[in-house]
Amino acid sequence: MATTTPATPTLATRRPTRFSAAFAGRERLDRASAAHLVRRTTVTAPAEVVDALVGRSVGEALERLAEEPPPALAPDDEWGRSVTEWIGTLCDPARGLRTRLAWFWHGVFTTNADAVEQSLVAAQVEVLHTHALGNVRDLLQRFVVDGALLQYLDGDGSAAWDPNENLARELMELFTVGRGHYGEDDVRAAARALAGWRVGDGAVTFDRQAAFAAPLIFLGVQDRWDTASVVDALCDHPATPRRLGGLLWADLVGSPPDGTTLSEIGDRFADLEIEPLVRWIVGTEAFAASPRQRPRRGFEWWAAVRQAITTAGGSPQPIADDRWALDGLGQVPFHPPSVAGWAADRRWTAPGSIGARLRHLWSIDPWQAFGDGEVDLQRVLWACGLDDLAPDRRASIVDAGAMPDLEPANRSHLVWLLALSTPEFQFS
Amino acid sequence: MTTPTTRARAGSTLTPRAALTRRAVLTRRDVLTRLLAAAGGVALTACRTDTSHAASEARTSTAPVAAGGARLLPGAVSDRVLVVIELDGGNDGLSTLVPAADSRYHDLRGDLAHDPGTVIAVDDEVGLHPALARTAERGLVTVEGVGAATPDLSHFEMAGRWRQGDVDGASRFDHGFLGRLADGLASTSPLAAVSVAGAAPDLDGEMAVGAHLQGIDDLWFLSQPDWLQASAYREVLAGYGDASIEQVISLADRLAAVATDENDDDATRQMRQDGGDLGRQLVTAADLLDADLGTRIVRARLSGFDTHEGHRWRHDSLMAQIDAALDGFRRRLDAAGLADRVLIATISEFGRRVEPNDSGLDHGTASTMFVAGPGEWGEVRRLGESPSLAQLDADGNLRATVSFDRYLGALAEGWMGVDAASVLPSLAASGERPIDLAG
Repeated sequence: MATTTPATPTLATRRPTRFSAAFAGRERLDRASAAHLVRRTTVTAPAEVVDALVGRSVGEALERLAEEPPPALAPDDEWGRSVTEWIGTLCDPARGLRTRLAWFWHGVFTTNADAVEQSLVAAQVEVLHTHALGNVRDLLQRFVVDGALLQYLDGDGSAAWDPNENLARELMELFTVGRGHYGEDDVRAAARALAGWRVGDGAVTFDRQAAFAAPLIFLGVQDRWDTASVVDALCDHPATPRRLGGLLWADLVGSPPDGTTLSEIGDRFADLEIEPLVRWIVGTEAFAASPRQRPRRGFEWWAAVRQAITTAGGSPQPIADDRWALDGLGQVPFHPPSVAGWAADRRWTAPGSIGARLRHLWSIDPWQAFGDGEVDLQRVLWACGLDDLAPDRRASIVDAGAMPDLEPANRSHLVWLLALSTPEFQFS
Repeated sequence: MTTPTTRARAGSTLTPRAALTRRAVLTRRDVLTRLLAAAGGVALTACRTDTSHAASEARTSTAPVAAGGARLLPGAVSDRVLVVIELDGGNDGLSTLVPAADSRYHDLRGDLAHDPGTVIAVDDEVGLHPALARTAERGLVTVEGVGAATPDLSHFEMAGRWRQGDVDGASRFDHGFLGRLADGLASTSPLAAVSVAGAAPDLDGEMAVGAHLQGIDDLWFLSQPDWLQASAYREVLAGYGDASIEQVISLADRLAAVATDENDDDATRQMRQDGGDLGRQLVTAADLLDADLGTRIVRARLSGFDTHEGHRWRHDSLMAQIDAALDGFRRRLDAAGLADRVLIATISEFGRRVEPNDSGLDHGTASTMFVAGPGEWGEVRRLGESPSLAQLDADGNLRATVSFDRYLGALAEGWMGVDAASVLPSLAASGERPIDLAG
């Protein structure tokens, strides 16, 4: 699918100036633009949410989508429980932009739940949701002293006389400025400045005895550096808004920004205020021109399948029973393959991934999910969010759904499988 | 990178992974049974064709095994296959290749030590675990003391370093060691690197994208010509005009040509019945290699080695599974004329503590890896250097004698013919050479 993105002529002709005008806020959202917006700014793109946004301005739509409280996950010691609960949150159709951004930040500010006390996961989820649309500086100040992160990156127990460099290095390389903007001396200095944190029994404490008390030279400045001032200095560095803003652009638009755009992102995001940047990105021509250009990641695709089933009135498997499926689809939240998060886009539409997706579809219990009655094609396509399906593909599904030799339940199953297997559905 | 730590979260990592993979899933047969209730009959088995067999025989006839003492050297490099088995959780090297003649081993291990009379004697120093009889009979190479100079006691950290092929954890790569190795093979097959143990991101490289199969019949639903619903699905999908989908359909056809789920031969039955998860995975691997789909790297995994408690019986049981699985797999390779092309190698994040904690063994450092390949019949050959039991590190662990990137480098360069330094940056940085598997 990498070579034949479903930007068919039909899709292309559907985004004239009116489409861009809607995203720039000059016109009301029609159904196609509302669907595009919802696919990018929610995790599961529920059809009812699209319906509710048609006719609104993009500003109103984003405001509605941003209205949601952080989830209240209770700390839980049982292995996997908090992650499963968060997956439930991510799949909740009542959640919108804030949850979508929390999911994005989780891919940047990663933690692997296998490496931490289970009771700490819920608190990190709350940090991600609370600051998802706020300011990166606030998010990072909370995140670097989050218990789960401290355990994951060995900040827990690091002492000034024997500082662990893991957290310091990732803070610079992955969470803020990126490679090329610091040296090994800065890693060593930051490791000392970040020393002293302790995690135990679900609580984070600071041990002054283990902290570094003398001045240090960090990023060329001699000072009495500590965790908060190191994070502040990194947030003040112009490379941070460029890098993180560029990642956010790539995630919302579906492809990385060009050089000019990246410079503009750096300027606009200098204050690290997330929601204004999201609004600006959504209003750009590039965003308007990008429907179905962003591969759904393994988890997102799985969640979109569940949402389609639920929207049409069927019952997907309980989430806890479907954890194995996420493993097979290559993306389990809180289990990134490395601290750098999940791989680049091409993986999600390579034959190996598509094969796993088709296999997953055929493993779904059709009676529970798709029912045993006569198929209503219009309703299936609506529930799947496939109003923009290429006409020839749509026609072939219509034909398959009318095969006289099949029982009604099998026709329904077939139509569902075909709809969820379309190239369009693999992209958002 | 990090100081060794015995943070007590290790026990939580294994159970869940096993729970994930063993969770009840609707199998092909379940789905078919349910669907057929409404759809009328269809044959469950696909016919095996002889073409792949003929092809593999033709191949091996041009790849003579060198006579005499030649080791691991038959055949054209471009035909070779590497099967990597991860012993997940940290396999105890001292229970795998037992230093049965060393009194310190018995002093330190106490009740958990193997009796010198029960191990499979290799020489007057060491013996293989008693359950590895068939593996020993077919021959293998043991590599002792494999680990890191700056070890970490976290599963997560060390498994990450192994997968990345980064021995000290100081650098970062976007891809796994096996993914970079797949890049180096420059194969065009979408099944060049396959995990038979679930999705394995470390099979992704700069260019290569790893695939994963649970079974040779994973794509069964695309090859049911006699079943109207499935054949209609396939026909419509083929008309979508999508390159990835077309490749999946083409793969399904080639897999269907070799898929068998009835009439297993004796070797396959042994793998399924006695080989545990590994046996089932290696059945898929054998089917894949038999199908001649361009697979060069296979990733398998056996979990359960994190033996903090009940080490003896758990480890014994795992060794028995390995023996049944490997023996069956090698018999399948023999039968298919593929034995000269396939090297099997283990990896494991670390070994275990020398002294027991009651009935179990906590996280350790260096361990013994083993390699089974062609040209080894009847011989157990020792490589590496036994870590001293007299000079343990501050945590009471073995000191590594072979940096694990030198071991991985041997698999890459010595077997697959891909320059080790190009796929193992920590080896390039240290300037060390891979160990010599033929040595």
